Amino acid sequence: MTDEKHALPAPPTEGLFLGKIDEESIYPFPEQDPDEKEIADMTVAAFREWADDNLDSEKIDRDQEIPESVRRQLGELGLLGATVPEEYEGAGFGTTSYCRLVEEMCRRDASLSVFLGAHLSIGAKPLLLYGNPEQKARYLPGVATGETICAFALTEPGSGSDANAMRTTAEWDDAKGVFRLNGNKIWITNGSYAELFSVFAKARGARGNGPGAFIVRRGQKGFSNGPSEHKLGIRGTATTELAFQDVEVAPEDVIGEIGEGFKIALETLETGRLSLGAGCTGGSKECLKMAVEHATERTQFRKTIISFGMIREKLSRMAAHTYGSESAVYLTSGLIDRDHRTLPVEAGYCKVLGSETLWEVVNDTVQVVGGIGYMEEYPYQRSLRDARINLIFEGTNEILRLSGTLEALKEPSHAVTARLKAEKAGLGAEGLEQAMGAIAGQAATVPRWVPEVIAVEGECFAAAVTAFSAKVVDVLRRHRRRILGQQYTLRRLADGAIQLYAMLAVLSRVSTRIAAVGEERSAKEILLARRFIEEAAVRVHHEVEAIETPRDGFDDQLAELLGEEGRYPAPLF
Amino acid sequence: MKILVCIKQVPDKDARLVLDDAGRGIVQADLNWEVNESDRYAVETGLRLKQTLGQGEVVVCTLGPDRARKALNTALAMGADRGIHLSDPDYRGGDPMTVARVLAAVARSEQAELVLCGTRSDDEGYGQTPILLAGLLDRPAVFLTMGVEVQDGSLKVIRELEAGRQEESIVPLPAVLAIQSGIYEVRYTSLKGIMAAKRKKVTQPTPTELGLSSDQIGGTGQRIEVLSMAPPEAGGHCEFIEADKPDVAARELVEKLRREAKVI
Ligand SMILES: Cc1cc2nc3c(=O)[nH]c(=O)nc-3n(C[C@H](O)[C@H](O)[C@H](O)COP(=O)(O)OP(=O)(O)OC[C@H]3O[C@@H](n4cnc5c(N)ncnc54)[C@H](O)[C@@H]3O)c2cc1C
Repeated sequence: MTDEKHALPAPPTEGLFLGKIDEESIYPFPEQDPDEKEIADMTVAAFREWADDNLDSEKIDRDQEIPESVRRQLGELGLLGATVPEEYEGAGFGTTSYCRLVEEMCRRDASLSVFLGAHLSIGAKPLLLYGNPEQKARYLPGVATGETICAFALTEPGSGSDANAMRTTAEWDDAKGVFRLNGNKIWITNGSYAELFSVFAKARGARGNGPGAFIVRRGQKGFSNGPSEHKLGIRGTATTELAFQDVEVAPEDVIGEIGEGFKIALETLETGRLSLGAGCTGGSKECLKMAVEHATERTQFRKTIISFGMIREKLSRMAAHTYGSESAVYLTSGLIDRDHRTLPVEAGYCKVLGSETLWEVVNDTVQVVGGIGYMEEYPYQRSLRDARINLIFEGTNEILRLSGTLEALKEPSHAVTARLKAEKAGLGAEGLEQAMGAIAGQAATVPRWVPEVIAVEGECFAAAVTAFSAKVVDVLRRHRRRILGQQYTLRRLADGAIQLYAMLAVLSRVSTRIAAVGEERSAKEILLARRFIEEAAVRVHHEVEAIETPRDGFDDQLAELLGEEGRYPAPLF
Repeated sequence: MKILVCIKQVPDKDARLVLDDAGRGIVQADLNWEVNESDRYAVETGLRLKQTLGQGEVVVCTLGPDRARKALNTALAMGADRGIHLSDPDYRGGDPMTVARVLAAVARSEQAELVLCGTRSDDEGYGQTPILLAGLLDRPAVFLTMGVEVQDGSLKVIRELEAGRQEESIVPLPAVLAIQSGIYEVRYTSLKGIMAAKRKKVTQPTPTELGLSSDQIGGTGQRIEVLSMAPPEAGGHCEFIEADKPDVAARELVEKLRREAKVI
């Protein structure tokens, strides 16, 4: 196991921070195994067909409910067991296949994909990751058919991003030989009808102290859920409060070990996030389609509006950004499947990129369609409302920028520390060079597989990596450990890294395609890649050049001021 | 009862078709493919008959290149028992007659009592194959089948006529039926079915194995030669119907669509 781990290439973002592009491990762009691909193709097609005939998203939104019949049919189609291993009656989908399914579902109906995600990506995930064979045999077959809908219960009124602050307890009752759960969870998706809840609580007593993951089933004494919340978007999903009053959980229903709860929750979310990015890609494609349809039909000033530059810019940007986010998602899922590994930093970046791309795309869509974008009887406003949640849940985009970037900074910070020590020790040039170890210290080169036709984009990418990684070293030298608290800087590094990762994914994808089918048949993708890389490079340089600006000081002062005054601080009248 | 269902893989309905340089066919690269619509109803019919009879075998068969395997897999995922993929390069090209010859050979070698086809393919749309096939097998054929039941060892078949009229008849077995789209709901393929399809048997008989010589089939056996293809010319005709009452306007619209546009 350890040996296998060692043989794995470093996660792709690591090289971006170090200024060394690991060009071999991400080329060719991972291709799905043909058998798996065919199963995924057919599954997506089957869902599409079912949705064409049966799905009424407007009604789901209006009634604020996914009807029971729809949930049952998704179960009958087998979709609710997509990632459950075959030995437990599921389909054993890999990451790419699952992402493709979520993408298609989200494209059709965001409520449905969040329902599926809460069930499979996070609800059942603790069991899939850490369940023992008995637990899996007991619960997973029901999960796979959809008889047992799952939910993931972590958030509490006082504990959102800071999951460690949770107050729900699991007191060990020695006399009865059970844990007693007490506390409240809020905003739990599927809370109204889930049968199985993965509940996180802090254990106390003879069986150990610390966070644990507990299975609670509907109908257990002392368990109840509140009414479904009224929400801005994804209104079809049932988001409820959960209350636990002396709910007795047998030791057999503890997932993993007491003390591991936090780790289980994090790992669950880390793996679930990528599919959220995929869902957002689907949403973006649907918006783009609606926007283009309108722009080619709507005439103003005796021209279809697609002929106007300001509309063209939006449509083209929407397409290119969707391409970038799609490439990042499927590079990540492909590497996860190929190397049997996890890529938490990349998955988090894909969630941020996907959700923000969708938000921007949906905003542009509403602009392109004009006033009807604001009207209730058209679908645009629903897309807008549905899209917003993706920046908030499964780790807010702030938290993901922070955690991903701090993780990615680990390697370079070791190298910088070594270098600083060597400088102190008065080593010569050679010693210093050696001490830098992992860090490139020279310009990044264009990956050898970038073909001539996109050589310029390859150069753009290499230059951006060079500038970015140089800034990483610079920042680390100056701040050392204090970087942990420098959120202005970290935010910019995160945004630079996210764009670089997407550029890398785009380059690998388009180069792979050109190598396979030639330039002529890759023309559309070359165009998208150029459009994406040109803008992404500008964004990276923008972040890097202003990694620290006087504005940061102003922001600190203004935030302080606002905190004190509690409102706009300079009334004009 | 052994039921042979013949299906064809066609470009999907939303595909953007581009003519090839010679102007006699379409560019196939980068197209998405699906099972021809009425053929799906033929598969559904086969599966329903087997279900009501409580026994039998549904064998699906397609003539086409490697990619057509996916069409077979779709039918297998719906529940068909076994597949036959006529993928030999010698089968390729051809016209409805050469295809019917190959399918007839399969029907004979399988000793299928009932052969089901769709009425016509959504791409080339000849609508001849099932009838030619029945002729070659010397069996009765029903075109535009709207319903079928087994009755005392024969088939009770409903056929669609003009203007919504229907004809009911008793057809002795063995027979060939061409199934019309929309006669009932086609089942969705479930993920379980999709996974199971991977384990079902698909054979690839060669022309020799089916007792066919190369001058009867494929490009060599073909009699119809396509000279050219062209997209329809875009017509820019628009007409406003003026009427005070909606039901009067609707009636006029229906009339125009029927008599002038000939679309309903
Ligand atoms: C529709 C919906 C469904 C949900 N479903 C579930 C579910 O099924 N299961 C579940 O357990 N939870 C669920 N949640 C909860 C969701 O995961 C949380 O809302 C989310 O984690 C954020 O927590 P919070 O709302 O308390 O915000 P807070 O953590 O209070 O954050 C408020 C703001 O502060 C920022 N912030 C916080 N800490 C930092 C920091 N250190 N640095 C910089 N910025 C920071 C955040 O990014 C955010 O912008 C759901 C929420 C919603 C709205």
